[in-house]
Amino acid sequence: MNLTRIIFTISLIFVGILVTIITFTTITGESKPPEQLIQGTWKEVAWRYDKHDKLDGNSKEHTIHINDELKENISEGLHIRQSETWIFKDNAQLTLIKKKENPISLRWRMKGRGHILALNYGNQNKEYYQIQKLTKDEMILHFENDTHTRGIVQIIFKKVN
Amino acid sequence: MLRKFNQSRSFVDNLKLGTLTAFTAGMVNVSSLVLFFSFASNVTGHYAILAEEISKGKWYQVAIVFSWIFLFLFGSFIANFIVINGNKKRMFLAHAIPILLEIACFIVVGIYGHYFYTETLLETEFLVALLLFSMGLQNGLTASISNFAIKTTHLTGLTTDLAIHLSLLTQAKYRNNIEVVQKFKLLLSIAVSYTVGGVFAGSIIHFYEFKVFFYISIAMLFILLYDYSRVYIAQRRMVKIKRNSTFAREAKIVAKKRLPKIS
Repeated sequence: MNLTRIIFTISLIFVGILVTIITFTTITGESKPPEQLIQGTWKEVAWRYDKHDKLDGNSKEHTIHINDELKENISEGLHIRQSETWIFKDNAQLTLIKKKENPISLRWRMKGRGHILALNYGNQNKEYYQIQKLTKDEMILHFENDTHTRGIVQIIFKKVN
Repeated sequence: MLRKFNQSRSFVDNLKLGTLTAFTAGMVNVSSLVLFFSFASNVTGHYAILAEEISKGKWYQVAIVFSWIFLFLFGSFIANFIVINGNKKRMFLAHAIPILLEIACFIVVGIYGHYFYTETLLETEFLVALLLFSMGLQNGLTASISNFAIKTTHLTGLTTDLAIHLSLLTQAKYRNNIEVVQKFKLLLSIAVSYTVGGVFAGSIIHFYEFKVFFYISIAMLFILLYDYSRVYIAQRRMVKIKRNSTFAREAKIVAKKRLPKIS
């Protein structure tokens, strides 16, 4: 009987603390919604392979850096190909500043609990990226790829402004 | 399906209720996953996500996932509250109200999604919340009226029970036990029905998008109307029997009065 009461009290305290933290952070605006966090200019700093099949027989590395040549292969056919800078605007517009091509404009939206980035190029032409990390300084996007090897491609961004 | 309660329910009642509601639950879950990238009935997954977001200190996401879980809980609470406080003479109505609320949720999601949805995160979170509430209503109702025999959206528990019953069936004494066999059939039917519903929704969602929720509403309405027709027929039969028995009694009294007295 005592044990039941202790477990019940602990559960109530846990829920109480959780509700208090949520209320406090929401009221003080400490925790920004992801749709606001993503707005601004982001610069691509690296592409990496994560959770990949072995690239060669000896490779034991968990994460592999993707060079420019490989990046070209992987991003073939994607809207984000050759992008260097991503500018997210609050009107759902995303401008991709590219290396060798003209900048393009897309429509961006978030799905789920803000963990999916949907890019819409029009005519139902959509691409989805998983937002692995989103802070005020850094963003990491994931997408699955099997062009070179089966694995998850990480795109790492730093916020410019 | 809906008009009987707990022990008065037969295997066929539970089978009909379980398969039909599991089919719609599968449809809702897959539709939600495709349209919103979020599950509408996978509460175990949401608990895991809640824990992950807490550990990362992402409080906005914690608030969202917490409210989703709470709405599922609230839906189940409302369903059972209506069932246990419903008028015993109008049991069908008490069981139908949660289904009607569920249909209302689907219609709201369908209309809003089809005509007004601009794909903002707030809208997505709100619509997922509404679907979780509706799934809570459904799961609460089916579990409540079937004496916890049916949980249409609780596939973790269902798969565990299925495995347990499957292992029981390896012994002859359980294979001859009608209850074990029927329970196994019920669980298997729910699992298959849920999957078929999901596959069906996954196949049509890209063509019909939010209109799928109207079709789900029609399917739920069909369950209600089918069951109401059974109630109506049963009531008419009862009235007829009552009337006949009253008429027979009255005729007997009249005949008794008219009988000549033999002295």
